[in-house]
Amino acid sequence: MARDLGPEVSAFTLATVEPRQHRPAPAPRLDRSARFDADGRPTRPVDDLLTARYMVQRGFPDEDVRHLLGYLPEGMHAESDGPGR
Amino acid sequence: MAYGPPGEIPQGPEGWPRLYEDGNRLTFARPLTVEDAEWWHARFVAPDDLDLHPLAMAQALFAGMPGEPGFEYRSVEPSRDSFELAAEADGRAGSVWHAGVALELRMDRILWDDVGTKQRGLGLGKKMAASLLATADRLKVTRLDITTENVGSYLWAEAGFIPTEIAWRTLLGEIRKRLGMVQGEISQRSRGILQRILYPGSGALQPGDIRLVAQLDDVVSPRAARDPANPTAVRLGKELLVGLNWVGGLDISEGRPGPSERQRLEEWLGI
Repeated sequence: MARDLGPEVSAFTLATVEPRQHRPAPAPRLDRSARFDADGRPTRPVDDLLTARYMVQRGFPDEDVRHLLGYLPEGMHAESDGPGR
Repeated sequence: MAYGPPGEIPQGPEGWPRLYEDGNRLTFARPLTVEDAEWWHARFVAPDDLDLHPLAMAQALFAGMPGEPGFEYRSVEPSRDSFELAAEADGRAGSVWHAGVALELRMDRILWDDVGTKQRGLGLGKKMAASLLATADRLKVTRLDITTENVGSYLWAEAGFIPTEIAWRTLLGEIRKRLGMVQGEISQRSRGILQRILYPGSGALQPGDIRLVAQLDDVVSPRAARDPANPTAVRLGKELLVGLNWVGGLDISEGRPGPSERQRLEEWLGI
């Protein structure tokens, strides 16, 4: 005899939902500890600058650059006249 | 680099056949002929006083790697200006790892099979990458291609390597699947960035986007089976890329003035 799963839950749903999806999602947080040294200086300034320039060329807004790197590198708009700008 | 035609090769302890045959740490899958050795001498020993006979070449490519690795030339192909070399440290000196390198002079590149090891945290990949860079400079080779392995699939993206377009197409599908498992935990702006990367529409593929994926700092729950040592938190970039072994490469030429991909890699390697 089939179990009564109720109107909201089908057997298909029960079989395919991953266990971790039942866990309450934690509040989003960021870990930028590897990006800056103890004095707050970027640990990878060359990478940051190249990444920022690439993002500008790809048309990402400055807010996305700031989100990804934790800051806006100086000179990030130099040599970046690609699409989206 | 200009290469002259194969020619005379010194005889005896400093040349043929002594330096071109099996030894304690060096074997050849196929014994070299004198013609093979003449090609080698003309390419890697004589020019600019390189002096990279087969064992010296292996030691240069794997310089800094721990243990006492054994080397095997899987192939030496004068007709293709290339060779393939495998190295393995079997633990007798306290270290277990394996890796492979191929040099293709006509393609101006070194192909690297990333270090495989169960000994985490020793920086073996970084050590080997530094050795490859130094040797590439001596040989005037300007491209380093890689086949990543396990955690290297994340680390080498972070270091600046980018996948081939074919590899990136496959990676996009895998990353989408993984993102589906954690997207309830990440920031809205990271979701927006990933949306643009993972669903490019009709636009051209952008393999360089892997560097952006690797840099995502959101903290998410790891898949337990994949990272049992760290059950509470993992960076999103790592979560999305670890284990998605891919092939790609990097221009390692010094290039024009200003920040370069080469400098990005050196910065990451700490050299």
